Amino acid sequence: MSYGYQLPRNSLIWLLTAMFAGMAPHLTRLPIWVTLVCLLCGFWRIMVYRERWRLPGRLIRTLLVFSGGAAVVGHYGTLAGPEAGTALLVLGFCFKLLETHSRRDAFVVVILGYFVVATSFFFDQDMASAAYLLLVCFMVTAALVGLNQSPLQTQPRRTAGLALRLLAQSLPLMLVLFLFVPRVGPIWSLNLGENRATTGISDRITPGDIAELSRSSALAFRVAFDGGIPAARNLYWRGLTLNHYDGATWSRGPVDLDEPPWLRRGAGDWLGAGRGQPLGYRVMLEPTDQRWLFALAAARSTTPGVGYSRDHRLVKRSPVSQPFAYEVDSFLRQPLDPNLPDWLARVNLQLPETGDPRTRALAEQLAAEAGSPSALVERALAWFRARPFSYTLRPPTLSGDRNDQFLFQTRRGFCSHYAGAFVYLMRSAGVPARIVAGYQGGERNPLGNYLLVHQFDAHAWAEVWLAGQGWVRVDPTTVVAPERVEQGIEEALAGEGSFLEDSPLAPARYRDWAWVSRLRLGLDYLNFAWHRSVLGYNAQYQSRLLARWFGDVDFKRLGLLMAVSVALLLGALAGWLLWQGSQPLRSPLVREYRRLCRRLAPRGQGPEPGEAPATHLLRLQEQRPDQATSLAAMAALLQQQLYAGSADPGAVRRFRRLGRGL
Amino acid sequence: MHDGGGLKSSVVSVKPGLIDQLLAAMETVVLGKRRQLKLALACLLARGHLLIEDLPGMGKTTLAQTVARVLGFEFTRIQFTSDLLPADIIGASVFDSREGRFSFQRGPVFTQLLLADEINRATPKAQSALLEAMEERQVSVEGETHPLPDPFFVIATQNPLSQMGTFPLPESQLDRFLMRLELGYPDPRAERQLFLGGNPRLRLDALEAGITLEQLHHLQAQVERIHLSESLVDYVQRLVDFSRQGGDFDVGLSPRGALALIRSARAWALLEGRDYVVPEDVQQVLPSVAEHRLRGALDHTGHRGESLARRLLDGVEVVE
Repeated sequence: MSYGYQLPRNSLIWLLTAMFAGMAPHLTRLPIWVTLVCLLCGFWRIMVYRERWRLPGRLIRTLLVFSGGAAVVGHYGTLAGPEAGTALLVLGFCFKLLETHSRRDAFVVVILGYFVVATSFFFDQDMASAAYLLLVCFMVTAALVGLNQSPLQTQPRRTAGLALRLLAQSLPLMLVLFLFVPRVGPIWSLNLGENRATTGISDRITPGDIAELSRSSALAFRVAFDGGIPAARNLYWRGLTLNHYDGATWSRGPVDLDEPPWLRRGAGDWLGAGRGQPLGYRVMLEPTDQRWLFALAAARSTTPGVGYSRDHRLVKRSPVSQPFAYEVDSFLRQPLDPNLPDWLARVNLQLPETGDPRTRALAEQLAAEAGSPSALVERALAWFRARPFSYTLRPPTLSGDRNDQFLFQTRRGFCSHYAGAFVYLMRSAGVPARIVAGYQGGERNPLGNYLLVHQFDAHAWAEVWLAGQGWVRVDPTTVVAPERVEQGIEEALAGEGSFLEDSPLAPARYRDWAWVSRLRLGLDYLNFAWHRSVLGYNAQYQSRLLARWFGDVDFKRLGLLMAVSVALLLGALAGWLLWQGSQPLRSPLVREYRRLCRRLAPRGQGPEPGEAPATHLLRLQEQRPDQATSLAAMAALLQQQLYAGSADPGAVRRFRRLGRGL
Repeated sequence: MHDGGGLKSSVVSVKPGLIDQLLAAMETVVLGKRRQLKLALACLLARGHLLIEDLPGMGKTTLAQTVARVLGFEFTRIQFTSDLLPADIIGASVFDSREGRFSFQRGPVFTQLLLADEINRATPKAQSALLEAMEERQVSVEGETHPLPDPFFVIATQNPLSQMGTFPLPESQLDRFLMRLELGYPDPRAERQLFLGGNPRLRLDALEAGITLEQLHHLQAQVERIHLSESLVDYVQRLVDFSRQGGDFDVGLSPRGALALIRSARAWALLEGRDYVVPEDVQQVLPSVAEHRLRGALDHTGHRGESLARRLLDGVEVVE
């Protein structure tokens, strides 16, 4: 009975380890049966190695391949796409493991292993997973090394050591390729993350339902300012405007403000010229699977793929499915829409035909008292201030005429309650207004001096259009709970204790503990650096960096640079390896003695051919009677260390000191 | 000349001065040959056999006898001649008419120290009988094995090959001798002392054993325990490599030759009062150990490799 080609034991161990380690990040995404099939294949392979089972025959293999493919289609509905593709690749990897009849097949398995590692980057690119995948890469490399070793070499640790050295030697090459390979945009676009649960702000707000904004401590984005970080009360990160109210829910409405023609950059004069000194910063956004981006008001961006929506937000051409960095210049003093077109005014005056009679009456009364829209805003805020409103994350639920209930009965709510009611009041009084959803504030990381904006910083406020001033930001929440804006949501909820009450393990909860905080911020700084320098290294960044080093760089020059640096690097590596091989392993003391000999040789005091070191030094005593004791001590030291078997770490230093006088 | 004599750093636990006493006693007979005496002593401590090669009348036999005397060995001498038969060396079965059977009559080889004088005068057959006994330390006659005494040393002397009527020892047999010594003419001062000193024969007779058998065994055991460092092994390997790979040598050092070098260096280190070997020890013993094992590339006249040993020592770096 023949068992065919046997993978060397070492290679098999590392290959199986790599297989499961490489699959681990996919486990939550892959259907459970894929994992089971992989386990079965791994077990089968082990049984084949132990010569208990045979490799499957043609029939079983065919059956496995077709049923595997069919099952993937059945599960995902397609064979294409990153998720189905990953499942297919993982299955193929496992099946190929059962089809290794020759060394060539084994190489195919190893290469498939590298591909499985690469697919993980579709889904996750943060630093920890990159480090983990590097580890898996190392395992696959160990399998490759094991494949090329004699089957008699059965120590996995030696194989691993070799693989580690191999990887270490490839590191400089990796760096060069990272720096110089041209960053072209993706030729195809992968539709990633359709099934991923989205966190972050939603494009619908229903005041009166439960506190539905996710109060998670997950990161939303990081911001690195070119200059200092502005005060917290100015940090209103606009993400969305909600323009339509159906009596219960605020939504973006039937008019899509994101679509062309507005999206085209610089289209129309509504954007306006930037006024004043811009505030420059770079936002590194975590994946949201949405197109909207976050920025301070009157934002301009030069990052490719970023455009403007009609309501002055930044919008990306395709959903943000991977960490995305963009540069922004914000003109804080520039008015938005100083002249409001009629159609847009109509959009921002929309209200249901009926409902909330008391609120409408209040609006009319306030408008009558105020006389002008700007005075109305003041009066409305004063009205809020004068009533016993309170800020809470556990508001009572509302139904029916929600604004009436909130304004006159419950008077407890969070930002979207206040923003919703305020916009309703304004619209009832005939002033164009809208809700803006986004984030407010952020946490400053003293390491790296950048801003961390978390999901719990999500906020909703209002914008009111005033003639001559354009859209003016009004945050009614500040009237009720000023500390929400000044000091962050944690302070605003200090009395209630509902801050992150659902996530007891979130490190952000333990901000009072200095070391937890320091650790969290330190870790985040690492991630920040990773995002900025590695993930954020795009075509723009690259050309800027290379231009600083080599002047203007076009593709031809870039190719030349890359070829030259790769050649130099490989040459240096080869030279080093050659030199290493030719160098005898010298003890440090011998090296020190040799150095001394080089120093003595010009004076004719070097060793004679074939002269032993101690003899040489003792011979020198006659020529240098002044150093006789030092020479004797040095000779004794050499004999002791090199030949008498003593190992004194300080010997080299002592030898050097004694030889100083020579 | 390299001299490692000044490097006594760690004294071995033998009776102090014992070795110096032995050497001093031997020097009263063999004048001005301290180095050769010391090498002969090292050779015996390393349990090796010794070949002394020189012209007649240079004191070869005297040296051998001196060693035998000082060490208190039972001593036999065989004068090798061209008509010497193997049985003359190892013994033969003789019919005992009283007992009515053959019994083994031990030959002169059954002794502690055998002086094989002018070994290259005998035929190869007789030579090989002795050399086999040296290697095996036993004698087989008619299917019976007779062990030789312990210790068993052979000191052979031979005349240089230019002498008439000699059968040169082949390399394979020369290899059995741990060391080969040349005595050379004595220096004038020693020779003068020789002339004035009366009958050397009487001085030899006056010599007494300076060491017991136990002490000798103890010293021999200690030779095995002398520390051999990695650095030193590196040096020996470089020497061996150089002899094998450099174009200077026709025949390099065999592994047996390399082992002999290490063993001799250990014994030398012991004589120097050290418990570890230094390169100087190797350099001291190398001419005696390696000369008769090497053959230069253009040296077709025989095994006189004196300059070869020098070339070897000069061509190899002690530390690298």
